[in-house]
Amino acid sequence: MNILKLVSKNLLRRRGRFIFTLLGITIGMASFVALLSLGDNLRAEVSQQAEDLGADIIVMGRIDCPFVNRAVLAGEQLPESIPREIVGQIAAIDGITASIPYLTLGASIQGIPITLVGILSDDMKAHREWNIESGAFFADENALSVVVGSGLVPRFNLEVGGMLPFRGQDFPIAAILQETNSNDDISVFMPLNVAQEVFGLDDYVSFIAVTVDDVTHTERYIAAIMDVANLSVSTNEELLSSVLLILGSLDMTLQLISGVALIAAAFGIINTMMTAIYERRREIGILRATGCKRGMIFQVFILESGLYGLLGGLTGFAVGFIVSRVAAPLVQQNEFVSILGNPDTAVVFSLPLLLTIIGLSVGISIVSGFYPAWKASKLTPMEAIRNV
Amino acid sequence: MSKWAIQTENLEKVYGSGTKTHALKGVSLQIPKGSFSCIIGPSGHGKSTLLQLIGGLDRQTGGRIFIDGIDISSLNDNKLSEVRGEKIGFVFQSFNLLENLTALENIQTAMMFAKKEKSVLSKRALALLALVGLTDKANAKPSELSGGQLQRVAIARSLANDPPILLMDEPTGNLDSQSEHDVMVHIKNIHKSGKTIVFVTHSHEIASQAELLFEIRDGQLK
Repeated sequence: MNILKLVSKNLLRRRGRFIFTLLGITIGMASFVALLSLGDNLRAEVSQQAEDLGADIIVMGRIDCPFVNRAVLAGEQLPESIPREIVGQIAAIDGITASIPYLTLGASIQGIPITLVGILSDDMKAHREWNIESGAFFADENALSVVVGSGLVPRFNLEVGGMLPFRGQDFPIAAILQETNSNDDISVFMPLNVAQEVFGLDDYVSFIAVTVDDVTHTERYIAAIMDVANLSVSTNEELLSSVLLILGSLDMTLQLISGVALIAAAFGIINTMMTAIYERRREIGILRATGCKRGMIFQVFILESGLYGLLGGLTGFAVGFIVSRVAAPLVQQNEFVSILGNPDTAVVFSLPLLLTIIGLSVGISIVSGFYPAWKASKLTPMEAIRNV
Repeated sequence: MSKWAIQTENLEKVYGSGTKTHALKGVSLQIPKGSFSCIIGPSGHGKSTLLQLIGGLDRQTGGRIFIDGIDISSLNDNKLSEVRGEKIGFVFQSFNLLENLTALENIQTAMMFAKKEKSVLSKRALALLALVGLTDKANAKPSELSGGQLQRVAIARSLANDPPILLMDEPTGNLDSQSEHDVMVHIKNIHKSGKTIVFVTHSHEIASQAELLFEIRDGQLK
């Protein structure tokens, strides 16, 4: 017999109460795990999108808001608000290595919305480091054909040579791109000139991705670009941080929700421990009569709370892990989350995350057990024995 | 080395803060080492209170208590716990065994706080069960034992840390006459091994078996 064995036996003495208390901690920790990784995954997704864009500076129309910035990163439809000649003027600035226009348009395949992007094919191919899976890239800037991302192929049964109708006109699929793990996989690309003509637009583009030869002097280039055009110009990092700002408030909301669950679990532990102490006054008295010191009684009850935390952390992590996998497809359909693209919201197993969750769970449980344990240790042997 | 296992000097105990109950009024006694003493008196006259104070389970409101020469009245809670663990074993009328533990585990639990080797303690717990004739009940829970068996387990537990003094508060109070006889036989055998035994009872028949008799009435020794 040792303290750990005594505590384990006590823990399981009232199985129903043990299970319900454990369930409280499990739910609290599981929601924390699921929501924490949702936030982390969304952040990782947006950061990846920013990296995929591969631009040092982004030039947009004069609308500066996080949701527009997010649309740039996610490659979604944006108003065509930048005159095309600006593209050339920016490219002419000394130190600018590329000025790549994007015309992002809303279109559909078989009634399902997709993004159609008008591009300057040579610039784009070099800038995005695309590889062709099958077919051949646009022959020239006026080719009446499209290139499709690999993600659309299985979804719509596409193949090179097949036709995709846009605005009542059939476009042969010239090439299918190799998988890029970016938004390019779910986009259709068309030469810029053709896109402008088919969609009846004037010579405007949605945004321009700019690369420079010296990223330590982006401020200087931004000033130069603003000299050329009165537009919204920001660095990739600024764009990213403005989107992460939305995520910050989303994160905060999610953490508050899981925080409430954790607080409820903590009170569950306090309640269970207080009841246990009331029921076990006689046991406390007997232990004290046999020479057990106050500190030892405190230790016994803290250990019991801590064990709840350890078990609750493990089960909470497991449940959070499973729930996030089961719920990931549902979460991705949620409007709130979908504004951030199509992130993978499932928890990715990692030892540091598991240890963090267990640490947090044990920590909360021990803190919750403090008051009950203190109350137990304050009982004198006779108080404990007499009051039964 | 004191020749007394237990000494009290003008021991007082007052309960309550509003209406006060004077449970003990200046009790002074000496109990020699190795003796078999009995505290007798009617219910509610302070026998159990005296035993609890001697055992350090409660604090006196006046006077002093010496256990094996140590003045326990001035000890802090931790030191008092140490004295309880090393010098005193308790046997209660209502057995006070832990319900969710087996007979063996109940004895082992009492040893948990002693700084002794685990293997030694484990062997000792079994030996104590054998001493009270309950080897075959080692893995029985209290709910599976009779009153007499429960009290024998409690007696074995009181010997867990090999204390020189055993304090017993009406240990046969809840037992039938056969079980009472069995338990008394075990207690006498333990006394023969050199332990000081202090026994509280209101039964004159049991008290007659003691070497020393202390009669208490209205909180005072007669």
